[in-house]
Amino acid sequence: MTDRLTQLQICLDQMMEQFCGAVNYIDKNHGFEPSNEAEEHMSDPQAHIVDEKEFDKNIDELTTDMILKTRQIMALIDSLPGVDVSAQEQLHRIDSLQKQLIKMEKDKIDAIKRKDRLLEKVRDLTKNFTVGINDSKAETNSA
Amino acid sequence: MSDKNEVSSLYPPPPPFVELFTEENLVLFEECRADTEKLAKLTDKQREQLKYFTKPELPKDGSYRVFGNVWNIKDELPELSQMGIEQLYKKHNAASGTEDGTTSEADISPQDPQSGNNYENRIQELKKLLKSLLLNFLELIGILGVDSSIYEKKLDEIRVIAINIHHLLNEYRPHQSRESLIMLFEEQLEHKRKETEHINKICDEVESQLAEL
Repeated sequence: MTDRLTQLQICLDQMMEQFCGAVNYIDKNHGFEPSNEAEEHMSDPQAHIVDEKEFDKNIDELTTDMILKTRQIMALIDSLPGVDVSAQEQLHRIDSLQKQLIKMEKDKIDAIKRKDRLLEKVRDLTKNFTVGINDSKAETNSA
Repeated sequence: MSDKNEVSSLYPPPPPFVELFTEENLVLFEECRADTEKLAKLTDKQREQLKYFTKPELPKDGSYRVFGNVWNIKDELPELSQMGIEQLYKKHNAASGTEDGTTSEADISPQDPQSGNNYENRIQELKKLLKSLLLNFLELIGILGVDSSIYEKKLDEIRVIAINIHHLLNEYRPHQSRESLIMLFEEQLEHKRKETEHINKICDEVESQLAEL
């Protein structure tokens, strides 16, 4: 998934494409209307004129798409990360996190050292234990 | 490699002189830098090779070409005015000096003098621009319906608005990067904390088991 800003920019580009698509659709399929009362109603047998109902329906669809896209963009704008913090606050936070990370790394190394010591201890114990068993076996055999 | 016609990689291969960067040559270069006499004793070939070890100077005109584009050495977002585009949103003083060094007059309204509100303002500006974009499109359609000869001006206005939105979003990028960095840090911290906790827990268990023996 891309970050929010890129998503926003993609959405914006999509909206531009919708604009183009809508203009294109109207251009290809529109009917003729006189611009004032005096003008007569024009017609052109060569033009591809879509039935008025169909045209309205499609325009409706195109606008709905645009409105949905706008809402999507609005929602994305609202979800931009860290709107309510200033750059200084961010830098402070990064600084403190960095310190915490360093400390945590130290803690981890300490824990690993502790584990190693314990491992060594257990190893010694098992060694002593097996040696002890062997010794006692030898004792019982010689007895 | 054998078939010349085959595209072997998307990126160009590294320059041939990378092979000169051997341990041996690195040591030699360090020695020669400290000691000019040693440099004089080198063969011509060696001297030729060591030339690659000195960093070339930065291009003097402040920009360079790569992948067919011209890039500025100083990586910064040019102002809209520099690109010849009218800036439609209000310019706020950037929240940090690193991000924007220019000193345009502060447009922050008096009731929110804190720099933290800059981004809040930007959000508002973004929304405003988006709405103007829609309105302008509607106007464009209207114009096309009545007198299509004057559409060009409107189209240009839409173009300027779109560029403004993109620019505003790009200005927001450093902020987002910092935010992502914070999130990454937090994740890492949590991961490490869990690891350490786990190790310590096991150690505790083993110790208590040992104590029972």
